[in-house]
Amino acid sequence: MAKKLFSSKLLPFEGEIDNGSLRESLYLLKQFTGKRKIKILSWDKDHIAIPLKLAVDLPPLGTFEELDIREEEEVVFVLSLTDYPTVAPKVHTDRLDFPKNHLAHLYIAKKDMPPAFCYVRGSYNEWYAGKRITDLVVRIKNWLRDAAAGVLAEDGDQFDPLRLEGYRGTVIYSYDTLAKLILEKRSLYANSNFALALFENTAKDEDFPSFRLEKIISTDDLQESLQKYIASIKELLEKKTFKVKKYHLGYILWSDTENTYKDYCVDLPRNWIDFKRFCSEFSIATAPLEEFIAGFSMNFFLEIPIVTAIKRPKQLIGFSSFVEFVNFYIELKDEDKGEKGFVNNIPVHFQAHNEPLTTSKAQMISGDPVKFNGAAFIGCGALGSKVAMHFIRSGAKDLLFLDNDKLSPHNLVRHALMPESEGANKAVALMNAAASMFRNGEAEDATLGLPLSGKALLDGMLAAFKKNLHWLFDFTASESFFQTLILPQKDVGHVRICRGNISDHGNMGVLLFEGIVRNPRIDDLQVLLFSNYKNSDLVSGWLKREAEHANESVHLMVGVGCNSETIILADDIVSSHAAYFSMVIKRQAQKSSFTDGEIYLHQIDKGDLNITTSHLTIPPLVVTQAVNDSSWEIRIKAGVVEAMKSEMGLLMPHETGGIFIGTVNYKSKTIHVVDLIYAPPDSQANCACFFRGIDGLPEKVKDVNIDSGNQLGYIGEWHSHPFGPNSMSTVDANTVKRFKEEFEKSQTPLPVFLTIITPTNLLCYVY
Amino acid sequence: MSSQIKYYPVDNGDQSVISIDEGNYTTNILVDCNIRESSKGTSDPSQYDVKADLLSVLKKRKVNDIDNVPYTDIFILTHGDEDHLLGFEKNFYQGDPKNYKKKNNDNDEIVIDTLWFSPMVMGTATNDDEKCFNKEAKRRIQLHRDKNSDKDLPGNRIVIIGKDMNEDLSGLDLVRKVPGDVVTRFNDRDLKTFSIFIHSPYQEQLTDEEVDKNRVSVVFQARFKTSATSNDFCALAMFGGDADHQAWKIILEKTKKYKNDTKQQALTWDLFMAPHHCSWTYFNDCPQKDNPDPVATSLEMLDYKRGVAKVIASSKEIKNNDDNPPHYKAKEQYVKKVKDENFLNTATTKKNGKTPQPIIFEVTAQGPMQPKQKEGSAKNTGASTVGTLGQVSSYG
Repeated sequence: MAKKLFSSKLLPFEGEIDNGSLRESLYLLKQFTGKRKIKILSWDKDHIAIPLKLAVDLPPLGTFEELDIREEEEVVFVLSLTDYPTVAPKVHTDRLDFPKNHLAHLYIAKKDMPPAFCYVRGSYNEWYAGKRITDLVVRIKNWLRDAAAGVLAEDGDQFDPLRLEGYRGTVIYSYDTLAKLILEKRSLYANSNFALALFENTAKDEDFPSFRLEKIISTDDLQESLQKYIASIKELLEKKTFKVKKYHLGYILWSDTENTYKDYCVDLPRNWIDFKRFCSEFSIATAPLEEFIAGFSMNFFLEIPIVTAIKRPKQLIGFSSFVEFVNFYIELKDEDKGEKGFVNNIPVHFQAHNEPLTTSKAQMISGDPVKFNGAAFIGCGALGSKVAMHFIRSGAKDLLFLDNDKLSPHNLVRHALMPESEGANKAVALMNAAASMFRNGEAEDATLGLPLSGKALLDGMLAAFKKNLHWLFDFTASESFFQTLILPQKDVGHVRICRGNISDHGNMGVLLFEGIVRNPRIDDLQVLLFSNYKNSDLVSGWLKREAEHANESVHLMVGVGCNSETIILADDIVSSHAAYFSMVIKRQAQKSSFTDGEIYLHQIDKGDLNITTSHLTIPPLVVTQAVNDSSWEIRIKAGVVEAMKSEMGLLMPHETGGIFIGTVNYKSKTIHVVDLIYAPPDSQANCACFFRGIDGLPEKVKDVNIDSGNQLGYIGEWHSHPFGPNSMSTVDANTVKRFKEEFEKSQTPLPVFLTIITPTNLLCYVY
Repeated sequence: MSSQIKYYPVDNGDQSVISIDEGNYTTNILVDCNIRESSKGTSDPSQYDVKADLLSVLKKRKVNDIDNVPYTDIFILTHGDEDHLLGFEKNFYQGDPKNYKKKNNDNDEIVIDTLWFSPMVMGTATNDDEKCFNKEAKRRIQLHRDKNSDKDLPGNRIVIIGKDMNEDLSGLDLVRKVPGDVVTRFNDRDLKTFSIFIHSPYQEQLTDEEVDKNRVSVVFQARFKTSATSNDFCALAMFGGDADHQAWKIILEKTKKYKNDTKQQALTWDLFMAPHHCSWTYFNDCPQKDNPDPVATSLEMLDYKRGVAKVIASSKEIKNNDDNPPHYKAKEQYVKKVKDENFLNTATTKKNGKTPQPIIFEVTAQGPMQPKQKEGSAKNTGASTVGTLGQVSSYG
């Protein structure tokens, strides 16, 4: 009996092969197969076909399920005359009797063509870019070996789904939703085997239709759904534009038997008669559906999607159930409809399936899911929007965006939002972006965006959200909001506050995380970051540069407001900081508990483009109030009080003392102490008095001023009372009076800050 | 990784690894060893670096706070001849596992969790490696006799295969397996998809007045299933050390007598390691010219092959001469049964340049198959082993 080979119908290729790579590969193929000559046939006008016989390593105990795979298999390599090797070859079985219906990893055959091997997961062209033609031969041989051994499926306990190729458009629906529908047999009418559904056609007018499942229509909401459908059609007709949504009515069709099928049936139908035959092979009755569609006058568009469910013997690989969907749409005109069915053999096309994007899928794809359990983003400008967008894309839920600013045209230069959001409130537009990304009805749970400032949240306007809040991110770059945030706030003790800014003309990204019960607080973190000038060239260099540019102003702009068009800062710089911040925040959010505050720095050297990062852990500060005026709060870096006590112990019975390094904030009435300087050598002391000297002191303070970019300096005095009293002495009071008179001569007078350390007490006085 | 059997090219000698992949755990069973010092490194292209490969196959764990200590779950010694135990002293750790030190790991000494051996370890050793093996076996035996609390620690475990009258091994039946037993517990772990059927040695062979070391080789059948619930074996591999035709005759007769040929498929094989490096002793007494006809029982044993079965000769290249082993006439007998393409020789079947490569069989539902052919790449670089690097280049 003559062999049934597809290639026997092909004519010899008569043309010239101009493609040098193709010529080389054919030569290599000839060498590899050990043939003197290889047959070159014409596949079509753009492709040649090379029929080959491949030796297959068959398993010793016979082929899997007695599949007809042979020791010598005939295949056809199909290579593009012009686009090879950029376009990888396709390889088809040459055998017309190849057991295609019993094998996974074969592409759906085009009419009268043998199916092609699905020989690589992902892109053929990408894979072939790193391979030679001989590697492809090996791969096909291995494919056949694996098929014979029954190990083609990656997981033998699951069913490998059909490979689709040459589809026309896509259809988006949740597999789980439709599988549940099938398992629960939720048909439109009792005892039928199909459901009615509303699909949105998301394709442009000139493209093939692509559908997205909007909803399953039950008899209960049939009228309402149809009204919606009619309204959309009316709108379409009135506006004569396709910018409005186009809705199609479609169907989900299944078998009402419990039979399961493992055949692949790689010849998909191209017309209605073939479709009915295809369905009958899987016990799927088509007559009731055909009659319903023929008698249903609601279809405005020609294209009607029909999602067909095949019941498989095992759970599908990558899916939650044993139902496999094959997606078709038919083209039905009025003249095709008869009384009980279709009078013409109408065209049928098949479509690829896409799952709708859900937050859980986004989390899975990101591989680094983040769970905030309630997070507020205050400030949705350049930096805030980019960080927020990282979390949206990661599938984070329970997000609240707050910003009372609108997106201006110049914002687009460095903002995560795109031009269609121009003029919209930034927070609301971010929410809408998230909603359009996750269109599976969960967007409402995922994000909320409101045109409000962060102060609204702190003032209790959003009490319900505030109660469930676990994170507050301040990306406002606003000094005003910073000052508000450091004031005592109600109901935020359980919230971890984080502030991110860009400074140093875009070079430095600073991310601060408060400690437990707001100690250290963000202002503490900022001051202690400055105090790190002693240990870090990164910090010292930054502060000095800022000071130079600040024209001797002591107010450092830690945080560039990016919403001004006068700020020169490139989008990629902002993105770089935002990406780092996002990674750090994710890491912090994964922690089950925390105590200390943390500071992260991300510095970009615009010269040689080096990126340097740094991380500081800040333990809680000693916090106390002034003895004489409780409106003043003194926040002392951990270790400073211990240093004073130690010095007191060393010099007992005499008193000792020195000065403090730190800063004062009149707005919040806070004095920060970050360091101390011990008694200068010309100081004098006895058991009852301490006379702080001056030798070398101005020079030391000047060094602090310079190295900290004027952020830190002299802030007050301290001395010990090793034997008490636990109060100021007369001498102390006189000194305070003298200092006060002197300080008041300054334009911005320092408060007189005096601290007495005793064996049992720390007594702070502010005047 | 799928379960597999690897036969190493060690000239006239044996070394194989059975790797069983079940659940998330791979159990490695090393059958005999033959590690020549001269095979280490890349200096001699005619020898495969068995030790390097073994270290890549075996798993590693922390031992006594030392990271990455290589270990095998089981070492089965078929018998103590040098060609089945070469390199034991240098390459395997011997002694109390609690004393494994960093220097042992620096020397790549492999820990053997469970040692399987026949009662022959109590006899006289004929080579240095056997002396060391016997010493280690006796150390572990003593722990078990003393019911020492450490006796079941990895590195102290034992399985005795066969029973003789040696009093020093009395009272150890809990760790003893005898012909006809099916073993499903390996290194303190029950396996559901793998078992071993013990064929030999029989007590009468071990208690002969003059025990023939080859004849009392441990013979066993390694049996794989695709799943715990499967009734059929998907791979059956016979290992027989240097067992001669008389040993196989007893195996055949006893197995049939107790109907284990049908009840347990204990004689059936897909892979048959030609005993004694493809020696004529499997077929009849030597010299072959005096005993040219294979005994019926040896031929009958080969008829228990199923499907496209393979014979593996772990030996030097088999040439058409009178050498034994390997013996050319023996090869001919095997080829008669399985065809030439299914007779594999560790010295010649797989080669990379001049270097022989291990013969590997992966276990599939359809029987043991050699691994897929490796694909190349469009990109390449020359390795340090590329031949031209070791040659002087001359240009005119």
